[in-house]
Amino acid sequence: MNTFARQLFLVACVCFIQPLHASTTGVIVSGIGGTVEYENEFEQNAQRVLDGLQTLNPDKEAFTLLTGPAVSRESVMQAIDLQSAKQAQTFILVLLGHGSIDGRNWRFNIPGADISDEDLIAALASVNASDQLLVVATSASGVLLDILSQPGRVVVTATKSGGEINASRFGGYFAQAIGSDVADVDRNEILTVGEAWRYANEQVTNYYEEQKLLASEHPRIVTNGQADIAVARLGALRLALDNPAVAGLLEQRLELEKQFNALREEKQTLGFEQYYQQLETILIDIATLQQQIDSETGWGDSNE
Amino acid sequence: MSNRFYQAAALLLLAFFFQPAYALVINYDAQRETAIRVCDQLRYANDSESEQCYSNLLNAESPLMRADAAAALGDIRNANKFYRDAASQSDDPAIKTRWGQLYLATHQVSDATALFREALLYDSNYVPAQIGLAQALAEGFESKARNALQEITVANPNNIHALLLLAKIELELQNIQTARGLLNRAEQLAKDRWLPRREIYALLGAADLLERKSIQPMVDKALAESAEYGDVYAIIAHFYIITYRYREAVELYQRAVETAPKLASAHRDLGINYLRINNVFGARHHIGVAFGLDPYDAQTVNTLRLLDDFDDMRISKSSVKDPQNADQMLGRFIVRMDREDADALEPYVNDLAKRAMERFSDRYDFRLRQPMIIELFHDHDDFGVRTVSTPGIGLLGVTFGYLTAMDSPKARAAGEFHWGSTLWHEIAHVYTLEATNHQLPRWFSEGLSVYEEWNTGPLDSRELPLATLTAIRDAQFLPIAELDWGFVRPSYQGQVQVSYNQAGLICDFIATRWGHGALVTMLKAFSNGDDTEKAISQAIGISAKEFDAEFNTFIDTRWGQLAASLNEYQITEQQMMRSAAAEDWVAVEGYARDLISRYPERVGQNNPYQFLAQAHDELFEPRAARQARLQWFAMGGHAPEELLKLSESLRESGDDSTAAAVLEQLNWVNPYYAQSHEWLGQYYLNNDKPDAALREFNALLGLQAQDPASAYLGKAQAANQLGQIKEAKQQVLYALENAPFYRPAQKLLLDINNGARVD
Repeated sequence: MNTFARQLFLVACVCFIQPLHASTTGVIVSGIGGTVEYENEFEQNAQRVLDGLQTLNPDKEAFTLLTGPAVSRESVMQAIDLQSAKQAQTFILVLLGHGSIDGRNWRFNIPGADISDEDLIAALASVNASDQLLVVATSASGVLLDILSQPGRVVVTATKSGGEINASRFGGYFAQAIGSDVADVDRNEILTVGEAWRYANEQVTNYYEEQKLLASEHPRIVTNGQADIAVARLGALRLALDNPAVAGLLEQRLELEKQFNALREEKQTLGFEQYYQQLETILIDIATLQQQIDSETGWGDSNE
Repeated sequence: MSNRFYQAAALLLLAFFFQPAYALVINYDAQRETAIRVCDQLRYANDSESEQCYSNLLNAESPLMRADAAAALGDIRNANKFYRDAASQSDDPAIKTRWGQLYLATHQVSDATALFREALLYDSNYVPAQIGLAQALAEGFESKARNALQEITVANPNNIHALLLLAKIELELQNIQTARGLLNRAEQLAKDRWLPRREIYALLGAADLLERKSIQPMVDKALAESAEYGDVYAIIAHFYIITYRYREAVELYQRAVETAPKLASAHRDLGINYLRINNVFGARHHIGVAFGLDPYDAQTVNTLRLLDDFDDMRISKSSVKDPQNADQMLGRFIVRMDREDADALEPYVNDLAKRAMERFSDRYDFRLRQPMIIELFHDHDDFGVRTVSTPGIGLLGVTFGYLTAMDSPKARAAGEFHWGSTLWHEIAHVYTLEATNHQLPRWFSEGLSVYEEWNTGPLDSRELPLATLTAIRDAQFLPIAELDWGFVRPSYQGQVQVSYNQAGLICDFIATRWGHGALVTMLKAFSNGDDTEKAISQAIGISAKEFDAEFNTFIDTRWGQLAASLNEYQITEQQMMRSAAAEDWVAVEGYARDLISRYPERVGQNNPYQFLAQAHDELFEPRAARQARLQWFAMGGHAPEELLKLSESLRESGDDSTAAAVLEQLNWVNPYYAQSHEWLGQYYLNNDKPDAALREFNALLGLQAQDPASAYLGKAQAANQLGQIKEAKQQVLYALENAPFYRPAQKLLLDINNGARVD
């Protein structure tokens, strides 16, 4: 299996299931644009990512957004220290903008001194969260895959290597995925980084194909078995952050989800009729339970 | 460009290092040295001593003779080296000319052309180089070749090589008597010079073929001279190919390989033409044999790789019932397309092919006798290899009779062509070619297809390109009896496209003036062997010359004013574009309205409707912008971005039915917008059109490999509307299998489970 296929396989296998009450903190940074258009685009993307991440944690201080003149090497390092010190289960760092490479080091282009790959290694070394997500949506970011990958940490990059140095479109599509429900293909209202990456990757591929352009970016994800890190809650779940009754029902839903996954694993061994009969039973249970959850949260057709 | 092209190019270069199996080349050059002509004579007589004779000359003192001997032995590598060595020592134009011939023999026409030109720098009157240059031009079907050869044969009436090249061109142009004159002269000269006449007999056989006489007498004469001369069949077969009679060509190529089993080019051409009549098995065999004999022929290698790709294509089969009589079949069709395209496109291809068969069976009073094959290639170079065995062609579609092949919309930049219209055009060819057993002139075949595009096709557009209007202004339209020349040997840039339009206008004019039946009468006349003059006379009772006069009057009345003021039109267009660049939108509106009033059919690139709509957008006049786009759409506008804008604007205004019509058109230009299929599917569900909804959701399923749940749900809802509850349940299970928390699918499953009785 080649690397890309292996990554897809991993993404396909790990869409489930993270405890819903796990705490998350993070830092989102938009880099220097070079032009007004890029500057605005990076800032808008950063805001969308923040909006999505905030659905995971009711604490408004759980995430730091740095854009425009607030961005400097020092402010980014301080923000990482601040948020990682909160001892949450999940820590997320998202960098959106232009990256460059000088033959020795990768650099994230920001006002003043750039942030280098070595800065990131040092800053992330002190992060103790058991689940970590690093999204580097910049040109040349692929060079970081090997450098920053480690157990417990998912690394997402806009390019496959440091050789892809043109401005990338990946960040925009990734932000689009987090800011809406388009990427939630299993409709469980928990958007995972695997789903978001898969959507953004598909959009990037479509873009270059439609324009008949040679693709100058090939997004990558190295999951280390952690692609189920949630990056947003959607729909009814967004409304149910602090409702204990809903939390109980959601635990039941998790149980049914496990049964569903276990059955799917057996698809090849069961006959067609038997498989779909059993699937129907579980799906009816899930649907019935979902109606109860919606009743508790007040979610209705008008929310669709 | 695909890797295949580079591989093919590399193989051509490699050919210099190997010895492919060669067809016999008869050398008519009277200036060739005596020693080598002696060897030539031995070869022409199939004398086994010929090889030794040439080999002896490899040590000759003259470097040119050494090179010629190596070339005759098929030792291309050494021949190339010897010619290069000879050229470095001498300014003799014969060296570069013969070197150029070596390049021509290995299909490297541009290098050959350069060498012929260099030879002519040494001596501008050197006839063999002049002939070589004309031959290189003829390889590209350039009309300059004919002019050059006419001049050469006037100045050198006894040059057999020039006479034969010119005769071949005249035969291609159907100037059979002229060709016979040239061939008869060549035959007498060859006889006087003790040169073989088998190639001349083959061309005389081609003349017989074009005059519907038996080719056998000339074949017998050629074979009497050499029983192994398989080329006699291959040369004649070429004239079946250029008149689209592939089945007959295949028969001749079969005889060619029976006569000369080691003739690689005949195996190759037999394989290629087997493919054109959908005999894939036969094609594989003969292309394989050709590869074994000559592994360095680019056409062979390209076709072999294409055959490999065939294994990855999906095939579907459909039958079409007679709408007048459900017990009768109108015919069957088979669609072959790349798997990654199939799900998205197949519903549309099937729909359009069915409509086309119903329409054309009726309009041309003809039922297909074999299944029609439709092939769509998502790689343009695969399509190029499929049609002319070479990548890089500029066509969109080609029809070989019952088989039609074309680019899929994925083969080109998004929205670059209206693939529905192209498919309609090609299916019209299937009917007109098969109704006449391929016996109709090119202009009429193309004219009818263009006429059907305009009158019955999926795109209601009659835009004439500015190049065609320029041709009208400059009186460049050809007389009807000579219109084929505009296709076969164009004399100015863009003439082929102009000829398409002229042929379409002629058919449209005939149908308007004398009725569609007159076109059917002409079709039958051609199928009986009549020429254009007779067919016109039979269908409408006037001569071709009288028709030309009537047609010119029609063109002048319909298009004359616009053509005459074309310069002014173009100046106004430039003013409009400059104003748009300066964001002077009021001025843009004025110019655009003026241009639209002069030429409302102009809906393609730089059309004034789009500028008018943009001006209204900029002036915050959304209703007027929508109106401008609607006008453009009604005239056949089909740029995908504009269609999307229009459909969004219509949906915002609540006009869903027109929005649906616009999105239907979008699918024929760019069928890869998943959201468009999703919206259309939902629209058809909401309007109780489950069949149309199913088509849309099937297409959506083909496009949304990563997120198939919504497409499965749409299919479930459509099946539910059709009363197919079991199918609906299965589809909704598929949806939930992919997205177990998908509320609308959950609701449908619970509804089916609670309310409906499932079988």
